[in-house]
Order: sequence, then structure tokens, then C-alpha cells
Amino acid sequence: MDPCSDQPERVSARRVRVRLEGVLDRDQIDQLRPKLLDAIDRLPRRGELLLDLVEVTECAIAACRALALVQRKVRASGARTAYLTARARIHGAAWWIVHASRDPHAMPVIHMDQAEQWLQGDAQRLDELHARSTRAIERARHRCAQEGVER
Amino acid sequence: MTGPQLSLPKRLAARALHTALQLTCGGSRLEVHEEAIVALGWRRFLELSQNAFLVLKMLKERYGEIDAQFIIGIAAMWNGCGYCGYGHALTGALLTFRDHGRLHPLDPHVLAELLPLESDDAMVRLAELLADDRDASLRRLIARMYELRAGRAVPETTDDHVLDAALQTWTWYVECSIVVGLTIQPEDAFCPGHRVGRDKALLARYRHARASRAVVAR
Repeated sequence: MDPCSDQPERVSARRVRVRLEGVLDRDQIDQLRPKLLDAIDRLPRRGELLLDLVEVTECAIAACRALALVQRKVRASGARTAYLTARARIHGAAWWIVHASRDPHAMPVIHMDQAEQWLQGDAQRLDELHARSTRAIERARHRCAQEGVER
Repeated sequence: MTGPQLSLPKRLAARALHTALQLTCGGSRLEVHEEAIVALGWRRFLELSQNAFLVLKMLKERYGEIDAQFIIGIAAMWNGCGYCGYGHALTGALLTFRDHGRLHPLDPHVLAELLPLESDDAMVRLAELLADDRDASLRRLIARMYELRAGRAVPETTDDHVLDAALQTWTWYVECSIVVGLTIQPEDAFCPGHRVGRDKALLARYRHARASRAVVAR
């Protein structure tokens, strides 16, 4: 199926959703780029972009590079982005894209609750990752220490 | 991706770390250290390293060194990173081979087969691979870590919190390791931060044993 058959869809006043499928290559992303950027331009300040990659089965490195370039444009618009994925390989591609774009407001996610939380939040990605890791370690160390005392 | 823009002191520091890891652990990728220093800055780079150390310590104390390596490898794999995923799986597999004379069912090539699958299918396959009684504890921990990651459970027990710490920390790590982790091949895996990677004779014996078993299986 042609992944560009899904046009960027304005799902609310603030949000654009794009659903891609199958094997992504650079040509497909290049075709999508003007439509996507146009849709982003029409969003109000601090808009939301949901890239639904759940049905994507492969993403070539050239497609990742092309998406990173698109994401840099999105960064300039100030919109927040969530990359929704269902396969580890595609999740890795999403990490590569958000990292390469240097967009602090883009994040890979694995379910819609996470996507909503990210899109409606204010945090920057690197701050969020740091906070989650540090918080989880503090809790784990506290629990381990408690367990040690109880023994 | 454009290469990282590093000042001379940062470039020298990244190269020093790379050289030290090559000498002590038998492998390293300079671009991961450079990328981490550029993306995170010094302070956060050191905090990430400290967090990774704390998680590894907790996992080792609780589950032993071998399962600690596999837990980290699987946490990284869910994020699509071969650099950490293959590397920690290879470390666990080499330690199992060295200490127990056994070929562990998880190996970089096995993880490479799981990466393209839908996550639920990959988890089913993982459970099948770890069906042996000797892997029961690791099977249980990985299944629980998957539930936590998928948002189907929230951390309740101490085990849960330790697994969640591994997940969150190796999600942060992947932010930088993915520069190599997306394209690295399983045969190019090395043991990140573990001295067993320096034992090239062990690695050769392990690869020979694995290849021989594959021939027998055919």
C-alpha cells in the first residue's frame, strides 16, 4: 500500500495526524513533506503532530534522514511531535529521527496514552528522559533499602 | 545526520574514553561518546553514566551478572537499539558460555530477528526462547518488564521498580547510542563496558560453538 495515500489529517484545532504504512523510503517522505509542512503551517502556535507509524514495517535509513529534515522544519514551527510505533525496529528509527532533528519537543511513544501525555505536556525530551531515569532509580534504591531493613 | 560539533577538549575526552574502553573491554564506538557529549553536555553525560552504573549495580546484586546483562540488552532492544541490545546480549551470552559451558538462547543474532516483529509477537517469541527451566527467572523478569513498558502494569514490587529503572535508563541511553544502534549488525557487536569482551579467544570459541550448533540444527 502506498504510505502517502494517507494525507496529513487535521484531527482537531491543534492537531495534525499522519498515518504511514508498509515500507518507507526516501521518495515517499519527499512526497509527503510539502503536504505535511503545509498542514503544520496552518496549526496555531504550539500545535501537535502525531506521526502514526504503527503499520510501518520497515524504514530505510534514507527515509529516516528525510524525516529528520522534515522534523527540523516542524521544530521551527514550535509544534510538539509524537512518533507512535509498534515494532522495536521502527521505534529505533523514531529515536534516530528525533535525535538527528535536535527537536526537543519530539518523542517516540508506544501507545496513545503516552502520545497524549507527551503532546499535551510542556517538557523537553532530554529533560524528561533524565527525570524519568533519575526518578525510577531513586524509587528502586529506596525499595531495595527498605527490603534490606525489613530482612 | 551531520557529525557532532565538538570543541577540542571534548573531542579529546571522547577519544580518551573510547580508547580506554577499547583497551579494557575490547570494543567501543567513538561516535556514540561524541554524540552523547554533544547532545547532553558534560553534566548530563556524567549523570547518564552514573545512572547506568547504579542500575547495573542494582541488577547485578539482585539477579546476578548474567541476567543483569540480558535485562539491559532487552530494555535497549525494545527501543530498537542494536548497539546496547546486541552488546549486552553478547556479554550475557559470553558469560554464560564461560561460566556454565552453555549456549544461551539469547544472542545478538536472535535479538536481530526480534527487532522487526510487532512487540507482542516479539515477547511471545522471547518467552519461547526462554522456555528452559534454567531461564525461568529471566523469562519472568523480561515478561514483567514488558508489561511495565507497555503500560499494562505499574511498578508495585521492588523487582518492578528495579526493572523500571533499567527501562527508563536505557531509554535515555538510546537517545545517543541510536546513532550507531540503528544500523549496527549483530556480528559487529561487542561488550559495552565489560571486561569479558577483551577475551578474544573466548569470543572465537563461542562463535565456533554457535556456528556448529547451527549446522547440527540444519
